Amino acid sequence: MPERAGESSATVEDRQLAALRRGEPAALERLARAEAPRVRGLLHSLLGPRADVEDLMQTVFLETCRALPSFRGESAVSTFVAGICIRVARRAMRPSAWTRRRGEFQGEPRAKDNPERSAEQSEQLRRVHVALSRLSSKKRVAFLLWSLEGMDVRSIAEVMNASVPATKSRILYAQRELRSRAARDPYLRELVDGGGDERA
Amino acid sequence: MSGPDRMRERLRELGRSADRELAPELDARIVEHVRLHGPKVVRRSRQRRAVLRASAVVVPFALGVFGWRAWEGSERGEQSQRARATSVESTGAARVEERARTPLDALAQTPTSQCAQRSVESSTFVGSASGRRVLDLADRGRAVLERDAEAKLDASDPCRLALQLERGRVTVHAKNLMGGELHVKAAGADVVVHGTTFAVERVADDVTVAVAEGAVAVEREGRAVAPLVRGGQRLQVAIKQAPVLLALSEAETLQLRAAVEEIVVPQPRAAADEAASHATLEESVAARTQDAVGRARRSRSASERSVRFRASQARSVRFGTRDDSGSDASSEDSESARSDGAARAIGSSAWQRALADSSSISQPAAAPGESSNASTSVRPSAEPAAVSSPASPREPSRSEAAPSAEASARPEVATPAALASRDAETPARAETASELVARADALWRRGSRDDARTLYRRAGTASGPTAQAAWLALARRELAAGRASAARAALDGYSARFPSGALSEEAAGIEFRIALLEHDDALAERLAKRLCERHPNSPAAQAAARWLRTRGRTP
Repeated sequence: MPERAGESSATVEDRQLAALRRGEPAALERLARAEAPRVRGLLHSLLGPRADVEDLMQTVFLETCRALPSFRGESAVSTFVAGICIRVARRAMRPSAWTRRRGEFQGEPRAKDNPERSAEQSEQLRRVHVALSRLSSKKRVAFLLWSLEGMDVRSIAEVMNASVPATKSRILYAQRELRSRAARDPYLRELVDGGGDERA
Repeated sequence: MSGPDRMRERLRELGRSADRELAPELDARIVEHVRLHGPKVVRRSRQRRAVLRASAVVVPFALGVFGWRAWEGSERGEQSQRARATSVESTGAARVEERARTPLDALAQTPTSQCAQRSVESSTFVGSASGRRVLDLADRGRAVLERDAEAKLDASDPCRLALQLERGRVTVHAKNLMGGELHVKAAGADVVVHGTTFAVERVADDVTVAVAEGAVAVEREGRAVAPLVRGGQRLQVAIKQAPVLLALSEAETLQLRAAVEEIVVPQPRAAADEAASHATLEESVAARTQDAVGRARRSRSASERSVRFRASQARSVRFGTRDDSGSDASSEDSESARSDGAARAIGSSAWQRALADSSSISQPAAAPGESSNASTSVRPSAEPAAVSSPASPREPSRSEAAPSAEASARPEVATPAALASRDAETPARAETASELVARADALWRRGSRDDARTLYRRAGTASGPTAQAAWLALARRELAAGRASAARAALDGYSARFPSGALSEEAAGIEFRIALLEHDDALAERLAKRLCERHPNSPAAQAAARWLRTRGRTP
């Protein structure tokens, strides 16, 4: 939404918010374009490479549109959307019959300059998600947002609508779980311990 | 950098290495999807929110209204019920008041006012050494002091009579307390009368209360010592002992009733004659008692019991005397005594029952208007009355024994000798009119009214004053039951059977009451005036005069 001369950012945000609440198509398109990458990244971080990521993204934006009339603008729109994304991701973390049949991770290693390394990283990522899948969704999401997304604890707490101490304990619990799994998994050991020993 | 930080850094690198770029096709699809369907979704969400917001207000409001209406409905229901109850009560009260204003009640007058209007003299009574003594309680009942009993009547409050029993036994029949109270006190025990027939006996500090009919409350120091003592029960109250409630035997119940049965008021006579008549009469009483006991044994009625009527008591039964004890009966008695009606057997049936038949002893008069105080005047020259005095020179009394109630002209009760001979000759004989009336009374009280009516009518087919009295007794019964037409039919039966009967005055009084019951004021007025003209001194005429005065008419 173009800013008008003399308007403060707060006023602009209020106008944008009002437009979103009214369901104006232009405002919603702008929102989708701005938040789509972030939503996809979050979904990727929280769920790993999945074939149903597009469905999940559509679900995120659909629920965002439904929730817009009740959004009071107490937080940033991005935070509002991130929270909805996290809820969708947590629901998706519950394994459904489809994912059980097909396997949770459908991601394909991206070919880069070092395909071998890419494959190895993809495998590591997959094993991280496998290791964290034993945890509750809250612990898993908190740790992934902290580790893969690099978000700080306060932001994680805000997005997850939790307290900071609770968020910290969830992250700590996930770390402990990952370390325990790393004792038996060389891929994870490399991530956790830094890969002191060369693999054969 | 600590270990966790290094792990985090490595994981971040791992995440950054993953392909995060938004595929153009995916991005385009997502944006297009949001652009096309987003507004619609937002609009529907807004509408849903508005509905929910409105529901949040409307639904509680509707529930509140509904609940209020339901509560109000229940309140109204209760109020309407209360209103109905109130209306019923008020209607009932109005009816009561209306009834109170009816002539019958005008005749009776309100009990409370009546008890205050009729005063009773306080006095001390001592039972005669030779027999009982009857205390008249001013139409409220009668008390009979047994031999050697002593009692003081405190009537300072006319609505609260108190009879202090000093010693001996007193039997009380409370007929109409007129809204007041009657207490019999003995040795700290206070017997509060709730109606009817009971006896209180004091021996030193032990008090025995026996109730034949009705109920009495016995209190000590203001507290009830036992539940109500009802008919057929006896309560023994002793100091330092728990009260004992026992059942009265049939004989005791009958004796209680007999003790307060109507006692004949003899005509004034010479002392010698009186003494002689008493002596012979006692013998007659004793003989008849024995006969009554024998007949009771042979009675076919399942309800009749063989009662041994103690001869000693029979001998002690005295006629109501016109002595200075004031134990004379009411004015009605006087009236009946003075009347020319030779054998006014209204009370005679009670006298007969008291003496003749044991089963009939239990018949206190209950029909309204049938004054239980009405006593038979016993005269030597009386018509075949309930009891023909043995001193009577009338020999035909022997032959007047009436073996059959169907006989058109037969004496009702024979002399003791005749009775004995008769019984010897005909062990199984038809019942006398008095016996039939006695049975009818018993059946009526038990609720077998149809059978009682049959017996009354059977008794009415006989001859003599008892037969006449049977018709009137039936008429009074029907009148008390509110059956005006049946009462009138009984009067018609009397008129047909005895066109010039001796009980025309009583019949006229009953007819007047029937007219009142039917609310036929015009007829009642005519009958009242006729009654006042023909029998100005009769109690029925006095009642009729009172009624006429309430209507602003002169008798």
